[in-house]
Amino acid sequence: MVGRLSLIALLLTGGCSSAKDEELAAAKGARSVLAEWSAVERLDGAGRLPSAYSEAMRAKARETLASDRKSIRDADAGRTVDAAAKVPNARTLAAAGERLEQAANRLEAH
Amino acid sequence: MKLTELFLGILTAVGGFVDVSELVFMSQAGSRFGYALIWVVVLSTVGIMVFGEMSGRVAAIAKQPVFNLMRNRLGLRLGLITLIASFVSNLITCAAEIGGVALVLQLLTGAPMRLMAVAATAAFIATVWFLPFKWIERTYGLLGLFMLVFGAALVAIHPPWGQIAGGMVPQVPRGLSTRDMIAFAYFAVALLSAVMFPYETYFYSSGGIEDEWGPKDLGINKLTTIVGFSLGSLLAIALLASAAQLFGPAGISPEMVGTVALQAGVPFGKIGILLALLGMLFAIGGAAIETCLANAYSLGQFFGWRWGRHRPPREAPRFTLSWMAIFVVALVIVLTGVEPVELAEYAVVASILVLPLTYLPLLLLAGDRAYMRVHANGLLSKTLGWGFYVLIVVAALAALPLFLLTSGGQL
Amino acid sequence: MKASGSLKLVAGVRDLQIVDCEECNCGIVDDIELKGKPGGPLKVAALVVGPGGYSARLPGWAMWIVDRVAGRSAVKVPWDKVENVTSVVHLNVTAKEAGLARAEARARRLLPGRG
Repeated sequence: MVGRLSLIALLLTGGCSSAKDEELAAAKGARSVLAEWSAVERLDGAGRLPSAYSEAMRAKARETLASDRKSIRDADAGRTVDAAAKVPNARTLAAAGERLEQAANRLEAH
Repeated sequence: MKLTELFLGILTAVGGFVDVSELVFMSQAGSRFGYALIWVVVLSTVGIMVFGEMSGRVAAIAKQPVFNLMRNRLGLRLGLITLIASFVSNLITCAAEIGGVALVLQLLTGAPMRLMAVAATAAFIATVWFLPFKWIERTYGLLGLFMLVFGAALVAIHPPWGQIAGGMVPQVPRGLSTRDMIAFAYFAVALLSAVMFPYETYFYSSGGIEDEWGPKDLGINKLTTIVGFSLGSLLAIALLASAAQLFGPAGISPEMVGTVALQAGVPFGKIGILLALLGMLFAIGGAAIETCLANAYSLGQFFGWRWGRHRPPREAPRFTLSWMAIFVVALVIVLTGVEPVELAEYAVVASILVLPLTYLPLLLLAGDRAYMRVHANGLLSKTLGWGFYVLIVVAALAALPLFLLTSGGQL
Repeated sequence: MKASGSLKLVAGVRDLQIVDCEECNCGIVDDIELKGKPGGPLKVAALVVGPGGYSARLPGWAMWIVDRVAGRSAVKVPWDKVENVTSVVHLNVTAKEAGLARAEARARRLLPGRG
């Protein structure tokens, strides 16, 4: 009996992870990736990063953003991610990250 | 007590303290909650000291590894449940470490990640096949000391030392939303798990048998666990504090393993990045070998096989085939494309679920005078041991719901 | 726990490591075989070593999995091959003589190298 109740509680908890939560997690993840990528571009522009490292980080950032993008349905957030990936310099990436943070806050509020 | 032995043991413990899960979770915790989770790292370090010291003492006095004695104390059924649970947890952890190493090699060389995963696994197999146990442990542990660059980086960015010290006091930040409060609890559990990974005690205990520890080595055991783990935890705290200082204000909660190296890149530039990547390579690589061998030790000890790297591979054939197969299976998991960061998250949750099963037999054995004679747990060890055990059980019960509610700390 | 004194077969012998006369690990006591008739003396006949020794100790579904993974073989080591029982079971023969070396020999054939 205790085992069954525990299983039900676990399933209910699992059910709390909805599509909305998935989108929010993706938006927050993408926000961080944009910030990470921006930091890489800024430091690379100042000649402070090995080239193999910065190239690999750029490729990884694109890949991770593309993966997060699939779960983002909010139009504004989606456009922000798409635009940032096209013009990936430190400034535009940082600005895109801030816009995405606002979008994530909106998603969280709803 | 041999001073050289002690010195090398402590340095090995420091260099080997951090693995991919700690790299990821320390950075994310610092970025999100500032210095407020430092006390959890301190508390968890005391926990691993307590159980690490016990596992070394059991190896030195009972001359039997934990899994051997566990089966006799718990019996076949509960012993099998513990074996299977810890095996799965360690296998996921091993895959996370191999994936982490592959990512670091990609960052160093620019070569494709999957190719680097295969190359790294081949290197690990060669390391374990050809090197004797002591040199396996020491090579990666000592080279992992490149991680000290993160300590230097923290000093270089002039953090608020008062706030860092304040973070060592148990606290929950004020004004957190319900969601953030749940996330705080998740990170507290995750950090506890990342520091107290079960593979560490299995490996340490089996290593004590490999090194033929006896009563004369109890002093080395105590000092290695206390001093080595303390210094190692300072490194972990440096990762958290740097993230609080550098990443939090920038909105970075590292989604990519390579981002952690920026903590050294910001103050030191290219040389900082290179040293950080080298440190990560050997620290994570050492953890990959430890998790694999921990599983092979568990199998060998549970089923009574010949085991150990103190004998040539062909003299312990089932043990040898086991660790080779475990590396290959872990590699296959990495090659499926699961992100190492995601694997690290699963590893941490899987490990905390297993911790109560892992530490209970150790606690019982270390306190059993029939095995331990005058070296059985005294009042302090008993109090700390049972106190931490209650904490671990609470954390284990909370882990899965917290993981699901926060989508693995993402919400 | 000494063979010359009293032994707790379940708590003190079952699930103990077995070590041969050359101090090499050669299995775990997976079960114990007793012989005797009801009302008469009961004696330890042999140690049972191998997955087959689990059949009386695991539920049916678990044994089905064990069977698929490791088979149901078991070696019976006669009790007179036991030298003494401390924290391990010491044999007075080698693993090969006790029939406990076959699995390691099979595994060795899969490894590179000779010897």
